Amino acid sequence: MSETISVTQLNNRVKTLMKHGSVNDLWVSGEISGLKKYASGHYYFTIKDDKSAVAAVLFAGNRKNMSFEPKDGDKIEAFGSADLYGQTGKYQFIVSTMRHSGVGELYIKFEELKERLKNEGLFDESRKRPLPKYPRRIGVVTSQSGAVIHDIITTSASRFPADIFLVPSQVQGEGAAKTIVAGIEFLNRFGVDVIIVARGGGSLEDLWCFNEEIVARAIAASKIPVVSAVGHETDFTISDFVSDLRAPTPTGAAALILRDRSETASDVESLISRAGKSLEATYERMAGRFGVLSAKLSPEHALDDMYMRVMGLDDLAGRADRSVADIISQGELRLERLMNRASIGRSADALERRSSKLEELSARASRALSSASDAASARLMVAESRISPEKIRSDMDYKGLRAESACSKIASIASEKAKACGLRLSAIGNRPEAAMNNIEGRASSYVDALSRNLEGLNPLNILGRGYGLITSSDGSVLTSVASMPDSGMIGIRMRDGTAEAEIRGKELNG
Amino acid sequence: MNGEESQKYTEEVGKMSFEESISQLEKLVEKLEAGGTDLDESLEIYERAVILRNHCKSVLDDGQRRIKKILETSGGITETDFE
Repeated sequence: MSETISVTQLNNRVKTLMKHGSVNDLWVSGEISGLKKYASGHYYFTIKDDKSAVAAVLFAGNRKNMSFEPKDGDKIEAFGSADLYGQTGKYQFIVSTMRHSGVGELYIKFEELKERLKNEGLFDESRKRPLPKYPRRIGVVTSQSGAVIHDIITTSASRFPADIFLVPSQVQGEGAAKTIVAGIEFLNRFGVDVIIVARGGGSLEDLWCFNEEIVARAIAASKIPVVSAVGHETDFTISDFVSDLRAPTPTGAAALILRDRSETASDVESLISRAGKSLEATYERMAGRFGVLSAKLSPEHALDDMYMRVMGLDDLAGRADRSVADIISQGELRLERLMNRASIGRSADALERRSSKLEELSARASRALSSASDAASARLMVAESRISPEKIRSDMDYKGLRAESACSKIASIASEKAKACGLRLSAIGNRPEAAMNNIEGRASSYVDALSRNLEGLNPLNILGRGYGLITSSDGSVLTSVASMPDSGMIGIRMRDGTAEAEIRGKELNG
Repeated sequence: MNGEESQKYTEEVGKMSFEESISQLEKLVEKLEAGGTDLDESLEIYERAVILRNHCKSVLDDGQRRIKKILETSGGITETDFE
């Protein structure tokens, strides 16, 4: 027997049936019509296809699950479950999210290609090429009519100066991928430092060309690094995965590729200022070493030193003088002694002695003579009778002559000896004079040599050789005429201070 | 460096890319900072560093950049100003 139930019971049973049937958690495709959005934020509409229609509701809380505002005529796929509305007994499709039709297929294709290229290793980090730090030529593959190229141009204006070469290409629709591929290949032939492939935001279909395999392969094959800048930050494309760098947006791409210009300039300046400081340090270090010398070479010290040396010289000269005087006086002394020893007076004495000896001899001779004559007389007397007086006389004469000759012989020997003494004496007398001249000559050339040494040590002469630094007005060292300003002030830094000078003109060698 | 050497180096640097000259500059600065160079040598390194700096600066100061649209046709490559 058939049971009888209330409408409510029926609807509850149908509701339960639907809960357990195959009408839950599925995608339904169709077209939106009769869309009404209530103040509550809920959307009520009909999804229909050629033959049928179903009432649908998208509650306000689910709107956030989808990326577009639904409107009549949209071809959509709606995800949700069928449910019965008990009050009217009508069933409706409760939508939890919606997407444009065909997107599902695109997603599948996207995932499939992504997986395949990933397995091929096209996304490997090791394939990523480093971007040039300071590119001078940037190639951009994008639409020439969109905001993208202008964003890139504007953003790069304040950055490192690089030329921008736009290769106009289609960035959506049929054939877009081919123009992007052609653009990348053309830029490889043309020669740039980095390539940007870019497009503004859009739906998955809009961005689809950047998910095509030929684009991915062209990016992978590019010899020039490629930066992908497609859509918004939340959009990911195959191009992003395969490129060397993914930029969140086209504006971001310009900022990533080109360093800030003033930052770069200050980097360069900081390098040169580090170089300047190092040079300064080296200079100080050298100056420290130089300082030791400098103390010695300071004008005051040098003068002191010179005085000391002059005093030393004076001392030396005095000593030289004294020793010359000593030598002279010694010479004189010796001379005197020699003179004394060999003086004419002495010779005369000697002569005198010899004369007296002679006299003595003469006396002895005469005594002998007289005694001989006495003896002769005695003998004469003895033999007076025997010998004639004439014979005795002639004998005596003979003996007297011999005495006389001996006397004159002795006298001439004495005089010769006196003469030889005189010659030796005069030779000795000349020697001290020559020695004195010699000593004087040596002393004076020694003084000359010392004077020359002193001249060499004169600090003015050394500084005169040009140990100084030329600095620019900001104090950095100028080391060539080329690095000097054409006019204006420069500093001169010498060992003892600084000076300011003005450049009125300059001329380079050669 | 004498005038001739300095001019020669300036020409050499003129042919360098910005990247080359800044990396050269970095090397010279590191060499200076490492010490062990005498004043003459340091001065010469500094002179070279200044030449490199001037080159970098001239690149940075020369704000002139070209913005061109390039097309490849059967007749070859055409460049037109783009703005």
